[in-house]
Amino acid sequence: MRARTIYWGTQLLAWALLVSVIGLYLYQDRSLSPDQIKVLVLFYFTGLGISHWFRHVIIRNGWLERDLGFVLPRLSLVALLLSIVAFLLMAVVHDSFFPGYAPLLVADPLAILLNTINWTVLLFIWSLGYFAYVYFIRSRREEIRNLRLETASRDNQLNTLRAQMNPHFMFNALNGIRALVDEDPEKAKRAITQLSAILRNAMATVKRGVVPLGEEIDIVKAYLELEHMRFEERLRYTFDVPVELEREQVPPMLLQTLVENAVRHGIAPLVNGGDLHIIARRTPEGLDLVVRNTGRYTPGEVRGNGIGLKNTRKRLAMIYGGLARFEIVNVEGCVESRVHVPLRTEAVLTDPS
Amino acid sequence: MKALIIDDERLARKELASLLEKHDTIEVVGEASNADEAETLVAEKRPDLIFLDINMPGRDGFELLASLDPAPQVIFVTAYDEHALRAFQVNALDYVVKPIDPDRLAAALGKLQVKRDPDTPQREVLHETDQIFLKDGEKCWFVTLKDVRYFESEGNYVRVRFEDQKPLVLRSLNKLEEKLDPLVYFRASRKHIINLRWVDKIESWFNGGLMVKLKSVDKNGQPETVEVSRRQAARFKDLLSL
Repeated sequence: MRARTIYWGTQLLAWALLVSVIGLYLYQDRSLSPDQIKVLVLFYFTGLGISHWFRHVIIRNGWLERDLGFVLPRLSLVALLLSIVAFLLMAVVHDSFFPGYAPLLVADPLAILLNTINWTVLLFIWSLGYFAYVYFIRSRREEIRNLRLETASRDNQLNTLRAQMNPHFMFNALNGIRALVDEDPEKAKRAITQLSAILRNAMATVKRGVVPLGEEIDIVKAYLELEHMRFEERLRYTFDVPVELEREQVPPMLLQTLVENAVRHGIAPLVNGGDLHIIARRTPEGLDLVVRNTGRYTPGEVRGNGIGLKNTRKRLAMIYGGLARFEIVNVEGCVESRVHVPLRTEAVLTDPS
Repeated sequence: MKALIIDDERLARKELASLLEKHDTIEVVGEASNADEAETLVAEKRPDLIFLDINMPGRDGFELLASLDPAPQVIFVTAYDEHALRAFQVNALDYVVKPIDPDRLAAALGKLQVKRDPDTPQREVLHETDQIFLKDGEKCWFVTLKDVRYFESEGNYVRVRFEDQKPLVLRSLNKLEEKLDPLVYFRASRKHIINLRWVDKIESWFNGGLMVKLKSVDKNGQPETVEVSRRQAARFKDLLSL
């Protein structure tokens, strides 16, 4: 709608300008007669009509989508054909409506040729102008679209980060710390340090491929201590991680995600709380990580649960191909999230290259 | 004002209590860590105001509130729960987020209605001026009972008609009947309880029943109608002749 207004505005103005310039030129030449003015008005409307027809031809044939090498010869040809039409149209109208003036349709091939060439040049220039105008509008639109895309991708990154930061946990922890400041300042200080460690880790994780299991365990411990500050005796947890496994490489935030899920969906909904065990074992094929919590797992029951698990599966597949396994099972009144990852050395060994 | 703090985290309750110390008008009369405890405490202490955490183990804050009749005044407290926050904003419920900003808390307290009837004895009957809390999907309402025209049972649910709303809530019509003021609310049939203040005209109906026309109109401009069963018709006439 707006593009249409701009087109017509420009079109009417440009032709008016051209006619005025010619008029002014004739006036200086002292040859601007009433007769000439009528011809100029006729010229104005013929120009408008024919160039608009030209635009129609361009759009209908889809020339706006083609490159200039393809379009230029066609533009010249159409300009030539339309110039003949323009000349004939103007001449017929002129000769039938302005009787008594020197007729335009005379058998003077030279005059006709000159007139037609004038029109051809004029229409060709017009079409170039039209193309420039369309290209300009399009590049502006493209620019806006790119900006939008950029914003969208940034939003996406922000969402990932937000999911990783777990705002529910974060604000609850901060609220707890606020209360601890009076009750137990030393504990409050420790909690702030732990929260910082978690934040720093969440921000750094995006860039790192794998981390030593020991580091991951430290973050999980910081996280659980903070949750313990909130849940108190409702959250009981133990670690069973042999020291010699602490240097094994695991994907960052993997264990952390499982533990967060266990707390959020397993233990938090229980009025009397529950137990949490984190177990790491070496097996002949690799490393088993198990998070066991009180509760029962029903797939699809808990809201917001799916994303964390889906991401975990996706990440494992990306890092280890088919060599990693991940499952959640109900065992004797508990839920177990089990991850099996190949040890680094063995992953290399099994790799034929 | 007597206030109750309901939150599953001890530290969160402590934090809120310490913030409330600065407000002389608020007296914290109890704390509860889950919905069941809260329900007992509300019955016992009859608070004017409750601070309610949405995210709690067992029944959540909304479920608790729906079971409290009459509903006390409520300030919701939550850390970060997108669903709850949306519900608050959509329904213009008052809430504060954790960690609680003291100014924001003061503003929420300032908006509270002054205690209505300080000497009301403990009572089980729901009066016309009492509020009940209704939640249907994401929408929730505090409704003053006198605005409710009638309750209509639909299976295990009850449809509550007030203003232009008709939410479907998980309640039993029998339980409601027990609680509602019998001088104002009448069990017209197995399916309906009507608010007598809304009754406009009464006409005879088939089988000795009655058809009650209400002062309200439906979307076609016709008066809303509720049928009174034959069994209840006699009682209904008695009640109205009083």
